[in-house]
Amino acid sequence: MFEKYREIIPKFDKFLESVKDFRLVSIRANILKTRPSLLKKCLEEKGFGLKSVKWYSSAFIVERKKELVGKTLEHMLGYYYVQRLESMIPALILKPKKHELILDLCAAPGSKTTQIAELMRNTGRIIANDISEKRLKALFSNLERQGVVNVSVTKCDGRKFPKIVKFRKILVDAPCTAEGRSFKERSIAESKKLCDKQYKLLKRAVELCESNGIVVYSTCTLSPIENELVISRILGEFENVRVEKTKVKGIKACNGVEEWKNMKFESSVKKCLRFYPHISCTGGFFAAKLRVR
Amino acid sequence: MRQSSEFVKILKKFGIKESYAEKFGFVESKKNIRITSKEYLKEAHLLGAISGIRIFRKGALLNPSSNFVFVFNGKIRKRRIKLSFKELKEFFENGKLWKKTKLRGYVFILYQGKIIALGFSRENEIECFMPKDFRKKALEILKEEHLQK
Repeated sequence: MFEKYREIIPKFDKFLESVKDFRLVSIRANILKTRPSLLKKCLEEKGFGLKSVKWYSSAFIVERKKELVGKTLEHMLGYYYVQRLESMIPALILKPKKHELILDLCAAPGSKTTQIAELMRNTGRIIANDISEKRLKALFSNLERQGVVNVSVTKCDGRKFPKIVKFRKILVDAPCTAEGRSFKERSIAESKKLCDKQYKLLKRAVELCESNGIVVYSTCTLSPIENELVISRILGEFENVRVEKTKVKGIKACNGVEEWKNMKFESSVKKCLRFYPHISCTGGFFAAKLRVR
Repeated sequence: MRQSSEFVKILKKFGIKESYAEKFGFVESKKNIRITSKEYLKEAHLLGAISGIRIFRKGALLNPSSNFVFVFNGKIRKRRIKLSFKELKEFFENGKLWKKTKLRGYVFILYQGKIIALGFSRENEIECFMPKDFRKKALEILKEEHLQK
């Protein structure tokens, strides 16, 4: 399994070992409604075992009664959101501030959108876009439950998002083969099929970005075709785009890969971040911070 | 077009502080009033976006929607009725509860220190104004939590 990634994943045997029984359940406290410490106390009184995450004070790993964490009144009332740890990373890289205008190009079902909204304390505005009607329903439901009011929802193909408004910060959490989440290996052909879509989404994001703005690109897959290759193509096309070195304090990550299977990528893709279960204690994930000059 | 101050006044009736309510903007459509942030509304409008979440249903009067429970959860200080587990179970199961209260009109149901539902109080009964799905799921959870105790 994942043999094709042996050359790019450090300590590959440990990686294989870790994906065998990787069943991490995590939650994010909704700071619009409660304090993380209060939520921890409240859930612990109900018998849940929660472990703090050192790189994000709102996040907890559920260690006891994890199968019931989505079945509490607090969850129904939006005091917390069941969200994978790695999925919390892009919002932290984007560093949203109060009163900003932000675009989330592939927003549904809204885990990252609601996280960004919380970091902005319900101020400013997030334009949350998605193409799927079904997924948008889930987004609306999550916005309501979390009490997030600073979001405006649009339904269009992200590749053709209208160039009417420019944004200072944009998140592109692109559709991907999700190898890092399911730990099921997908074929190179499947990755290649998605690569073009991902490139077009990121290209539109770059075009929608203000000068000196930031675009964060992320996927939950391990394939360099859906990650470094997409970034490399953008760098090749836009002279005004640079990969910016970034990190999330407290979490170990690996650099992006510069070559894979006879493919050579732009050297600056090594500034991208790769997350693996045996190194970062998260699912597999990729994130890149692009500065548009 | 109504003024935001009109909505702020209604929020004040439920004990939501004026200074807090004034932070929000309100967008009016045919059937609803949506609550949102005040900033970049013009940009959202240009993009044809749906902004914020539904907070009032329009009728002869403005009626609070169930989203009040989610948006103003910790901020509602007035018109609250505290229910016991048994009462809340009946409230969700039947969609109403026979209970004498002094309050008339929209009320919020308080359980274990949290606002959990919106209701409408008449002389001897409180009618549940939460969606059926919510009621069903909440009931399951309540029973489960009660059993564990």
